[in-house]
Amino acid sequence: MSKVIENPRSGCVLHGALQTVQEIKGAIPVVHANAGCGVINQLVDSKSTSVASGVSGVGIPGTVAQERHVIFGGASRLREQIKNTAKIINGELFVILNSCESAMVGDDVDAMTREIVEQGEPVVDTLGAGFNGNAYQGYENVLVDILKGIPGIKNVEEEKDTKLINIFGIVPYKDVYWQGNLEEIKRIFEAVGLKVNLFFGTFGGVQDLVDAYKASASIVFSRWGEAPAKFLNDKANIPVLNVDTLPVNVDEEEKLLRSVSQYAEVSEEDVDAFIEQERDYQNSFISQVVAARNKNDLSKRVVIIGDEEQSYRYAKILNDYFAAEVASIVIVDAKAKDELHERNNSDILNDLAEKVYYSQDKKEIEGIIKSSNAELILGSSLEKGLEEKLNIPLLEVSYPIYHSFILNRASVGTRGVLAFVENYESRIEKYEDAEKTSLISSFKSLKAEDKWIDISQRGIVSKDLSASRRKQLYN
Amino acid sequence: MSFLEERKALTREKRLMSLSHFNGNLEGLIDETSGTEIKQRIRTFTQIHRDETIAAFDVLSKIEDAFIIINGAIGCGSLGLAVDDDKSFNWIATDLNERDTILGGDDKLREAVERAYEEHHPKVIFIIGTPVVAINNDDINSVILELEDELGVSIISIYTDGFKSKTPVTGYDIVTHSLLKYVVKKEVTDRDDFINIISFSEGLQDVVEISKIFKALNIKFQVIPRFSSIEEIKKASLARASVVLNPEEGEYLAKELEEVFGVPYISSEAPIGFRGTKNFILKLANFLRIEDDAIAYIDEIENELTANFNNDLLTDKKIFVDAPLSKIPALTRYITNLGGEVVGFGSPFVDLENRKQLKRLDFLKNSVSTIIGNGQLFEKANEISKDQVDIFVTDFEGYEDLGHEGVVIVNLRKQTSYGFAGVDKLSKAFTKAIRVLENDKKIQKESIYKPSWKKRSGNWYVKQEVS
Repeated sequence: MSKVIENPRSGCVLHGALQTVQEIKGAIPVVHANAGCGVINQLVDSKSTSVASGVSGVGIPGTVAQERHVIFGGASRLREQIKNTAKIINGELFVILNSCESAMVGDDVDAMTREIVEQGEPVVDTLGAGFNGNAYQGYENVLVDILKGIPGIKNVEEEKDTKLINIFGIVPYKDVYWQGNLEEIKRIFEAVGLKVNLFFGTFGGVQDLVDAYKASASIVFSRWGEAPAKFLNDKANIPVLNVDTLPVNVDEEEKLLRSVSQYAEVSEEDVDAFIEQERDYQNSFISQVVAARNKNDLSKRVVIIGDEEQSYRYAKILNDYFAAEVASIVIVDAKAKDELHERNNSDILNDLAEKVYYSQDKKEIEGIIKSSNAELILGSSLEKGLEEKLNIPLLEVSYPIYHSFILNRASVGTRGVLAFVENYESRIEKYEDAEKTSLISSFKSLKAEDKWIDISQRGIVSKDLSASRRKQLYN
Repeated sequence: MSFLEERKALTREKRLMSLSHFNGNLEGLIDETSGTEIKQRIRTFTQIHRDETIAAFDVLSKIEDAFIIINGAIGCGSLGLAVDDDKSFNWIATDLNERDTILGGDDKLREAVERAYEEHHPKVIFIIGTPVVAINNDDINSVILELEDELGVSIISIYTDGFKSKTPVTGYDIVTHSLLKYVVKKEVTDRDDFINIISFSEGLQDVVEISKIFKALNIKFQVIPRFSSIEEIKKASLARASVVLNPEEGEYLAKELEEVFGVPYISSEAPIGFRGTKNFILKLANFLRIEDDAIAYIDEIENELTANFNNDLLTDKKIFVDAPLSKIPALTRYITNLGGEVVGFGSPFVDLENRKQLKRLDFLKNSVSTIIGNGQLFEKANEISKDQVDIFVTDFEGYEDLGHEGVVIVNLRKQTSYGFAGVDKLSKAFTKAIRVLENDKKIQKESIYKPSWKKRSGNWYVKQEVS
């Protein structure tokens, strides 16, 4: 039985779909819901990490369903809205996002979509209601639904491009470094002559969704990328390469490129040359990291709270670079039993951490941290209160991160991992510096009380001792 | 007649005929709203906007010893993530799934209330309603009745649903209704010597600024319901009088306190700009019979501020102001005093109460563009293009897209705009905006709106409602 959740952090299917569509250049979301459903997502995103690059905020078109639409149905209102959206807003693709209301009312959104597509407008719809799952499911649902609709509204080429690959599983916003991570993945693949369909951000766009059908493989970096990759496999016979996590070092980059070369046209020499160059780059920094590790105690006992893919990845980095001890991993996106996805990382995660939990409930997370004897928390801004309460430093790496502007900072690949390593080391140094300041201040306050004086080699004795006690001690 | 006799608050549309769809000019709006009825209109293209659930949550999340349960699907339950300024803020989401939408979510609600009580020991538990619960018609009251007795804590249902009103401030009315019905003390024996400052949406910086004025004039006060405690809300009926920072949001509470509990309401305009702030203080001082102190205080600050006031700061600048109608007279007057040209204004709604603000706009041309609606940035983009607006002043969030239309946005939410400090801060914000405007000319921007839309009349998608 599912339970209630204290301080839930994932959003719903609609929110995930909205975040996903907003970041596809040229795609315009049309929210078929009451006025506030999409705004909740906007309010939350505006407080964390980044600003949407496409249509955003209260600029998002929506049917703003009213009571009569709930009672009598909102399909005709939706028809009117789509028709006018296409007249007002520049878009290459309009994506209708359903909601709890439209699902409960039973609006025939598919019929509305078909009607407008017949008029030559590029419209697709996704049927997931908010109560059907979390934002990660929204990402996979909407991608599958868009890909399903693309052949009906765009010219899809049949012929495969042997150098083109699809990238799935990096969820916009939920991976707080999604823009930088996509860029780093692009850098790695392009270095060996491949082309990537990133779909999102600066280098993505609607054309990627069309080109997805002619890719030579789909690379899936998290469980949330499985469904769109599987869909393309079924529909267009595009092979799927499931990878445990995004690469965190040169060995993983090499493994990834060699695996991809089974499906796409990559020259061995190009891979060799790139890997050699990457290895030199990585090694030049490793010596600095080793020096920092010898200077400071960086081998901490940590708790990681975040998405499965990110937590897994951070645990590996902490092991590789700092020989850190991962006491617990708390996974906030997936469930312990997930019959909808093939991926089962439980063995690997259990190898990396002493304990693995699946929860996004604040009370449970607090209990896990308390019982872990951790020296450092890797989590989100929602753990800020616990940082203070438990006096364990927090490194904010997972969604949501408040008051931090993140553009193309990455946490994967040889470049991105270094940024993570910098943040990790700096956080520990700052915490230890603060501890030292606090120690000095408490020492000063002890001295100010003037109770302690060093009077002999026999130790320190309080000035306030009574004469009898003093005599007792010295005899 | 008090509205407290109703089981739940009426929507603004039902209570005050609020209109949230209009695009035209000031003269047209005055015509449209000056009769005994206000005719409803609709938009055939809309953009998403806040609703009453968000408004209710926003104010309740600032009451310090209360706990919020969001009764709905996990997306609505994520609303608490928007509270980024309080590390100690916690909330529970019932996380209703498909099964709960069929079989009802009362078990989860019960679990949520028990957890909230056992783990947080709040003085009051608020249950916020969402669309799923409203459509499903879940029986929330039986859970409340059962657990209130068992736990001995006040549990209050906030009857928001997200689709019955087009006016988000209905959320404040729903909160007001519940607070008056279930929290505010009913037995009023002795009056206390403090003033209720009623605030629903103001930022902390504005509330602090008004509090400083009260402190300077030696007036005891409490701020309710935003930034308050349950104890303070209980005492609201014992106050000597009430003032409201934004009348269209807080007047409902002030008037009910007056009617039901005999707490006088000192009606005034929003304390924005020289004149707005001065009027606010003088009305209060008049009630308390401390005019001499108030005048001395005003003179001292005003002299200092006027010395630095630049009457030409906004010369040649075209400005559009988007704010609640209660704030429009003060803001547009202030901008005019700085030499700026107000080419238009926008407000979320106009109703039988706040329409009086339109008469205070007699210093503006009758032809100024007037857009009534929540957000609806496409119409604002149209207006920006037509009138070549330089600076867009807004009191709302989520307007970042308009930056692509070639305007600089001055967001009132990001700085003090109330009181005398607001006069100075706003002037500084405009100075910065002019600097940014010059700088932004170098940055290439791409509008999301089609050029053909910007050439059309702004009221193209506003239609008369056919019932």
